[in-house]
Amino acid sequence: MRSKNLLPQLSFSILLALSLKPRHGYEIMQQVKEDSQNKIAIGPGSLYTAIKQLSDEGLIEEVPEAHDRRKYYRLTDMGKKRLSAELDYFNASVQLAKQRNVFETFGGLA
Amino acid sequence: MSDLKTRFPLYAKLLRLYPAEYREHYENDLLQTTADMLDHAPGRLERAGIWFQLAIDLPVNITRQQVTYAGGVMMQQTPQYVKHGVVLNALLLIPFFVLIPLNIIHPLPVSWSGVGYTGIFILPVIAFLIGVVTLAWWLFAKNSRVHSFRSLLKRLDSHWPLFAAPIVALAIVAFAFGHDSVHCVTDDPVQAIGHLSQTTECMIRG
Repeated sequence: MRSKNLLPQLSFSILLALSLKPRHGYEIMQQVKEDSQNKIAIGPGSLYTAIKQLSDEGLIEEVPEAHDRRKYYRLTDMGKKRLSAELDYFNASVQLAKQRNVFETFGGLA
Repeated sequence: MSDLKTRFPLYAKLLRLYPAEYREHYENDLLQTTADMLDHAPGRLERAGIWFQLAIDLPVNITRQQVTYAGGVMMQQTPQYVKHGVVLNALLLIPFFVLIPLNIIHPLPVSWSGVGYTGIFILPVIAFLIGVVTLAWWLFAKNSRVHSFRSLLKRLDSHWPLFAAPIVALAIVAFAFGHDSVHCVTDDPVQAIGHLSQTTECMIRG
């Protein structure tokens, strides 16, 4: 079970999608799909529900100077720290699993 | 953005089911992202798949936003006595719901004594009355912002979960007093006249 301190999967994926550059809604969806190897396919309703939540938490913000009629979103400083913390957690989990030979036992990473 | 509303008139109308605050901020984004998805879909089948996905995605997220919004409004704007009243309503309904997994709702009125029967079913009646009085007091209080029928509807719209407990209580009361076995126990002549066939059934069951 995931800890309360960890972000939901979709929120994490959105932060990861925004880690390289600001993106608009459709770009975020495509990036999330690509990053998850087509395992996460979200609709606009779910996307903007998650975006609102992340905005309310101060992890992402709208880019005010976007020239497109689409709204672009980017990570805030707090969002960058949060993403970094999440990645540290996952990295530590993978390292731990490697130490315990979990991947060899159950399959997974090469 | 009116061109997108013209392009997806039905979808744009459905988006009006979102809470107003959310819709003002995200309506254009929802329309634009949907348009982008459809524009990038290579064929009819893919576009049909997108609409199918939207048919599931939209109601789920509208419900989530409505619940979140109503919850937020209620926490910030509802007086304490209304919140306490609703919690009390819900607590009074617990005994009834405990009976459901025990599967004794049906035989209960027949086999229990009048006191036992009344003890269980009087609670939803009390819950309903408390709910109605509390909510009516709040809606029509002197310092209330309800000036017109329209403002009353607006308040009801943003506080609908508060009415859930009294409505459930009313449903239980209706169930209790409409249940055929009830007339056997209560021997209520008014109910019996209204349900002659059920009364006959009671007599046959003895």
